[in-house]
Amino acid sequence: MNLAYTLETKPAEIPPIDAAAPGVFETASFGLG
Amino acid sequence: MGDHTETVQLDYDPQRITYAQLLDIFWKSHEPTRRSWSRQYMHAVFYHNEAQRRQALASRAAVEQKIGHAVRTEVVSVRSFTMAEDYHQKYTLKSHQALQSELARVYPNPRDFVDSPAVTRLNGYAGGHGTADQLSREIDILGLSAEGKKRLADLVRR
Repeated sequence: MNLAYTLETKPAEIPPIDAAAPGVFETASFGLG
Repeated sequence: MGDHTETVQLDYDPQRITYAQLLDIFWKSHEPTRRSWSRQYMHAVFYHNEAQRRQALASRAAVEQKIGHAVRTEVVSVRSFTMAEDYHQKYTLKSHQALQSELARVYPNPRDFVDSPAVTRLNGYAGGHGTADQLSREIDILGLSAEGKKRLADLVRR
């Protein structure tokens, strides 16, 4: 068994701030020269 | 290309920050009376809907009145948006390899990496924005290891 490979491919945990992000974002765009 | 303008496009949670607050930051972030150098580097608000158009025009009029000078920043309808190449994205964070690689492991797909609020926060802190106080309130939700947290805290304290 290739332990290093197993460790490297273990799914990383999604940061809580991303997991909690609501799906109701609005979009804004600006050009700042 | 040719008639494109370089912009920032933000996805934001209106429960946490309003469009009016974003406009306020925008007006404070550039010199609105100066003529733009070119189409590529122009000052502009690109509105996405009628409500944004009205607010942007009203805020421009308010700035004009406040400074007593004609504002040259344009308010125009957004047409299409093309993402910049990956090497432009989260540019400041890329000079902090150890921090970047922690989140790059979470998001191996570059688009997911760019879209992540956690990565966006890291990029802001890396660029000198945000205070140690703000960081202490959210450092545990950014997806960093103990070592990453220490690295970021040291960076913000400087």
